[in-house]
Amino acid sequence: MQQLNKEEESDLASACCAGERRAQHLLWQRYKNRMYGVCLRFAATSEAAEDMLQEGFVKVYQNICQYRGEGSLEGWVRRIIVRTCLQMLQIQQNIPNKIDLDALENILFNPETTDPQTPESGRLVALLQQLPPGFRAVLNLYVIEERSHEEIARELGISVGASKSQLHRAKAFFRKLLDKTLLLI
Amino acid sequence: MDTKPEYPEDLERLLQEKLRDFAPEAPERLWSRIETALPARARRPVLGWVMGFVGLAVLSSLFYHNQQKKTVSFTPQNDMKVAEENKDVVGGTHAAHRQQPGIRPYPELSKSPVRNRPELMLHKGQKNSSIFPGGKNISIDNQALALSFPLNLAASMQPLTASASLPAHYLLPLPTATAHSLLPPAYDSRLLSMPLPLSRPPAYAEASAGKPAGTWRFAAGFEAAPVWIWQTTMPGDPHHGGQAGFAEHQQGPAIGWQAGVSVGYQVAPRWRMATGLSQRQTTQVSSHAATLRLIDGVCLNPYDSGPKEYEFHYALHSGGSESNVTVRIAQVDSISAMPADEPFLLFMRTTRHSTDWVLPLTIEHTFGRNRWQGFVQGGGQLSLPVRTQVQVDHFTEECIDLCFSGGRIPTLTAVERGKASVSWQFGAGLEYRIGSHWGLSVAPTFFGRKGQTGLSLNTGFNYAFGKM
Repeated sequence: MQQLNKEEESDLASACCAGERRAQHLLWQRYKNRMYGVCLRFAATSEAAEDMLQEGFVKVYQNICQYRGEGSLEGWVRRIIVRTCLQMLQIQQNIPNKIDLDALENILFNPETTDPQTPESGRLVALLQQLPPGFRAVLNLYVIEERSHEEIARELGISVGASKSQLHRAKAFFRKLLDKTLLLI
Repeated sequence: MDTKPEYPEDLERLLQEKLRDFAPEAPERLWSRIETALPARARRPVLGWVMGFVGLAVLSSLFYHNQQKKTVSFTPQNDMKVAEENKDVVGGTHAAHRQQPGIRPYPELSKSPVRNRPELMLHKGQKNSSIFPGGKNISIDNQALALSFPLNLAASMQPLTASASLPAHYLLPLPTATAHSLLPPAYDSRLLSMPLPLSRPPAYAEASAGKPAGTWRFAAGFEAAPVWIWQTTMPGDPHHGGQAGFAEHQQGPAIGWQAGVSVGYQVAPRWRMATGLSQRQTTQVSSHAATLRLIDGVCLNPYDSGPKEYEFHYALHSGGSESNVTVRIAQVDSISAMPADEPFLLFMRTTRHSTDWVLPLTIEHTFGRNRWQGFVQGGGQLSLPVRTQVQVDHFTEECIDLCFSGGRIPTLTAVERGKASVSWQFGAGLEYRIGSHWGLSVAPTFFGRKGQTGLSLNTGFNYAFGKM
């Protein structure tokens, strides 16, 4: 899809702000796939990711009038989607210690969950979804969204130390998952 | 067939490369769900209403000015005044007219009784000589004529007659086929040769103004009012977007005051356009009750061994608007922790202090004579919110296992900026003229829009000036 220049992005945002349905649909068409990828990384299931995407876009449209044209429109939309994902992510206390290999195998080789265009990305996402929500949130924010520990701490309401320790543990957990996956493949 | 992936040592690089731009096909069905969650396209009701008011004001003004020209009331007093002014024209020597070329006396008109006269007039206005074939180039206010003579009236019209006291130059047959055919042909040529009015008789204003206020063109004043606004309970939407919304459990009216200035313009005798600017300050207290569980919130310290702290986001619907609230709830100690899925009751009391500018635009019809005047008014008002401060107090009965941060009930405040709105308004009132210029008025006024009804007891002084 062709990239929009700054002026076109502002026009699109203004039209969405005015409540023009066609513009809102155009915005959806432009960013839905990328944002769905973001949601899949944060969610535990694709159904939860769909809920996050839906809620995230509703918030985007509700707040689009606040977009001042500073930075790219995609970056702005992405920040709202990530924030929505974090709000909807129920961070649970119990961390699973065991990995269900059968379930993992099912996810990794399910054609419905694996995108044939990007099989590796699909599998990595499926593995990410196996992480406990807290680990998943920190790993996503730090590694892929490139947030600092200070920002993560502020976003999740935890200390900077807790953010660092969770990232370390999340990476170890993910590496363990990868090792198991290599055994399966 | 996929080859066996080789995962590099650098996990972070792997994730960035593979997932940063990961964009699988999102289900298109989500769009319809999003669309239903979005509000309908925001039209611009304020602009529309303002345009409507302006249009109404202009039309009213034009209409009543027209009425002013058209409806000369032929009371005996008026007739006498008019006759006095026109004694040189009708029933007299017609000396003046004899000296003017093209103007001839019309003595036959003086023989018929006054009450049989149709209200026919001739005004200064646009030229329209084509409707009088062979006639002179005269000026006729066609609109006034059309209003005076609907066809059913024209059919029952008596042949054109007039008394001696009637100014002949006020009489003219209706320039339509129906009315024209009712008149004997002889009248046409005679009427067409009648003298034309050079201006409206000065007796007009005095004859139609029946009250002191009606003689003044403008009025300006100060008014103040206690205000009550009742709001329809707003429905909560607990399923909307993962954020709970709670409707008012109990609500009272918004109570306050408004004060400001008003100005009026007399568009016609007994009809006045009024506007002004007032500031309205109201306070509304409402209460909410919500059943929550800890898992509805976000645990802020899931990995700490100490007491847990939870953050809740929710919306409170009160006073016709929505306040988004974030509140943190902490456990007292970790030993007696409340189960995360055990429901508890949270009470919220919302106090909203609102300040708005109000711009009314009304048309008033006055009645009564002398010092006491009554009036009814109708129109609309534009409300421009200045500031809304929301204060939320929280209460819970579960302070044994669950308590708020710091062991106290947090009071949250937020400042909102509302949207402009337009309301209808109507009312009736009584005005007492203290002197020729000063007046004191009391007017209960109802106003409202969808989901909201208000009452203000406007009381004020006004000063009338500018002779009509």
